[in-house]
Amino acid sequence: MGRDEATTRTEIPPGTLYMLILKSLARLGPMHGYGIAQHIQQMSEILQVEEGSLYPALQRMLIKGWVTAEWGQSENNRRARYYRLTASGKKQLSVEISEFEKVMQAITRVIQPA
Amino acid sequence: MQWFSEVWRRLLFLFRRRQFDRDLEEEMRFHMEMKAREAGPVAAQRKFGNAALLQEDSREAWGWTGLEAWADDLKYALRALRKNPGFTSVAVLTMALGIGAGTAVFSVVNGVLLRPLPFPQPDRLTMVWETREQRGEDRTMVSYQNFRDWKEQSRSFERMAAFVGAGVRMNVGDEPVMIPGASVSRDFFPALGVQPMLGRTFVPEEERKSAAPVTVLSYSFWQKLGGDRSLVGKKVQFDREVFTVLGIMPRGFAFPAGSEFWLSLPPDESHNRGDCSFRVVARLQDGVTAARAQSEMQTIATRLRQAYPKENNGAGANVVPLMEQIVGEARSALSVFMGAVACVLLIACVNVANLLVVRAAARRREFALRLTLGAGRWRVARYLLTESVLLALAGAAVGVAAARGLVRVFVALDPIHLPRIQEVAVDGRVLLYTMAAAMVTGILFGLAPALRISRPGLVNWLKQGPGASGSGEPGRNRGRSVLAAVQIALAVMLLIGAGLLMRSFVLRVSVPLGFRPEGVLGIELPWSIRQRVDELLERLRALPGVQAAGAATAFPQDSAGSYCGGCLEIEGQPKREGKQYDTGYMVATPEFFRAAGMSLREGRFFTAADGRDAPQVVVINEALARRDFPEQDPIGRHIRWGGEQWSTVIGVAGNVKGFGIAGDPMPAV
Repeated sequence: MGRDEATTRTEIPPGTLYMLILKSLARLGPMHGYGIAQHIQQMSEILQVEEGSLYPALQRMLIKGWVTAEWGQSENNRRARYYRLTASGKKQLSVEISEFEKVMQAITRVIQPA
Repeated sequence: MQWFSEVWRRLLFLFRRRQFDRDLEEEMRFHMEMKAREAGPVAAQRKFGNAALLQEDSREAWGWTGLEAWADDLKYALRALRKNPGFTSVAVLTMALGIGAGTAVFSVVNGVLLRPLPFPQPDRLTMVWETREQRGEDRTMVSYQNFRDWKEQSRSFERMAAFVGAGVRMNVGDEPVMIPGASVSRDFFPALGVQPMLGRTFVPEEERKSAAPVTVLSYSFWQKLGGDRSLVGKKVQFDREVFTVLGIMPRGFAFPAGSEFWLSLPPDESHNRGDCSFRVVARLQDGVTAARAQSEMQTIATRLRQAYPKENNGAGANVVPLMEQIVGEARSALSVFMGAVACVLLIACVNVANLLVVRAAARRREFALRLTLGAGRWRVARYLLTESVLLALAGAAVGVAAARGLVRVFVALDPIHLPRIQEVAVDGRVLLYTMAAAMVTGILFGLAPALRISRPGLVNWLKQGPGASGSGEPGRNRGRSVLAAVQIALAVMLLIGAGLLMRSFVLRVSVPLGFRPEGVLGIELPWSIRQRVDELLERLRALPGVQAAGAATAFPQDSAGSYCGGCLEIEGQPKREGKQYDTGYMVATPEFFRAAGMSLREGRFFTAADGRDAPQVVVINEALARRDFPEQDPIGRHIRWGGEQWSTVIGVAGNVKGFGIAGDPMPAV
């Protein structure tokens, strides 16, 4: 356990992957894994989502009950697994965001020139 | 709630593993294709990285990887053991021996000592005895009057009941058989808390002496009588009296031990405080300890002693928890057995550990290879432990099968006369014990090779090859010497223990019997032959090699003689008070004493002249002479039994172990 954060390298700040996935699903509705990765990359312009951390993270979110998964048709008529946000996922998203903002502000306070 | 649904999802995953793998694979494929469309297949492949690793990581998220690896270990261990049947069977049989013996003895311990008595809240039940200071006796029977005073004055008990053993003769077919039972006062069944399976038990009106005779039967007795439900309400004949069957007790209920029927005990109105022939069972009030009841009873007993100084001279009370009463001395005997069996189990363990060490030495190459290929040391050790626990469990399975047989034989033979022996069986708790023993021993004897294998330096050994081993490893030999030493020490301990047990057993059986069993043949004859017994004996005597032939209603050391407390009367003495002992009694022909080799202390034995029409004569034994005629000559005195004719004492015989007191010439019954 805990290996996924290490393999994320520096592209996505450790611990924020859940929040990014949850937010993407909240904004665009059910998506497949590839779509989630694409969305995060496009929106952020610089963040690279590794498959090696995306799918294990999705599994853990399934276990936690934040998302559910079901098979559906993709845009190009292929079978793809769609992840959908649940109620507890929504709750988790706001928790993650407020946590993240707290940390961000704290960090900013430290590194801002006084 | 949160974690519950999480656990639920994890469990669900376990059952859908195949599905999960397929899903994940398809998802990966989809991802790759999408990527390939964008960046070209080669780049996609490179960027995607190790798909197998990714899948494994995704799987690990569900938290079952450890278990799955262990299942692999198990599979591999099974295969390895199957490939080496010689080793496996020796190890399994050794463990079966150790665990089987342990299981058998533990079954006995469980049935006798650990299982609660078959009554509701059995820890509340106690026996209440009288004590007699001057004789140093702490568990003697009680007179009905004392019992009634106890019952009325004590506050510690919810209910208190008196009972007395009773035996009836009943004709089963043509043969009269003796059936053991008990007469019980009205609180008996309520105190024990047992309901009848059919019908009912006694109501207070039935306690009256004048009430119609009624009885409650045991389940096994009911079965012997045909097991018909309609027996309730019908009549059965015991001796010369006819009893109405009120109810049938549930299966397994036999209190006091061996009872097949219960009669209603009428209150003793005789005001005779000296007839001490009752036992008392009582149920403690909620929240009252046996110790508190004891101190209350002692107070009452002291009061009674002052009120009736003659009869209750030196009398106290003794509250004994029923379990302790029943189990008694068996506890220490069984502890010794448990110790012996633990020794056997340990020896078996050390043996198998030795085997495993040798085997592990032969498999070093294999393990060195696994270590080199990146298996963790813990992983290899765990594999070895899996193997040894597997061996132990297989041994346990064989052992339990053997133990079942052993227990059955043990219960049938009952060699050391244990209480509650009928309740002994291999049950769930015993199996639990066996499982635990197998797990612990498996880990115990697997530990030595596991530790050795996982020691660093093994990999070097692989590099050097098998030829380079040998002298360089003193540690290994030391370990094996220790094992051997432990084994020998345990074996010696066991041997000494067994020797001591044998010795005490020999001492116990070599107590003087009071008769010479050598060359004596005992034959049990049906009661119906009694009219022709003289003729039979005559013909026996005519046989070459027969020195003497006699008959009696009981045999020395046979407890089936008639016992009666307070039946014996001695002329010229008041009906004995404070009599503690039952007096045993049997009827014998003149030559019986000579045939059995019993010794004469005083006076004479019967002769042919003491037959049917002659004056009644009786031979008593030393114990009775000492008890009832202290410092007097009993010869020529008159005694009688149960209010029958007076008989003259003509002789005193040596004591016979295990049997009571008096003998009568033949025609007394």
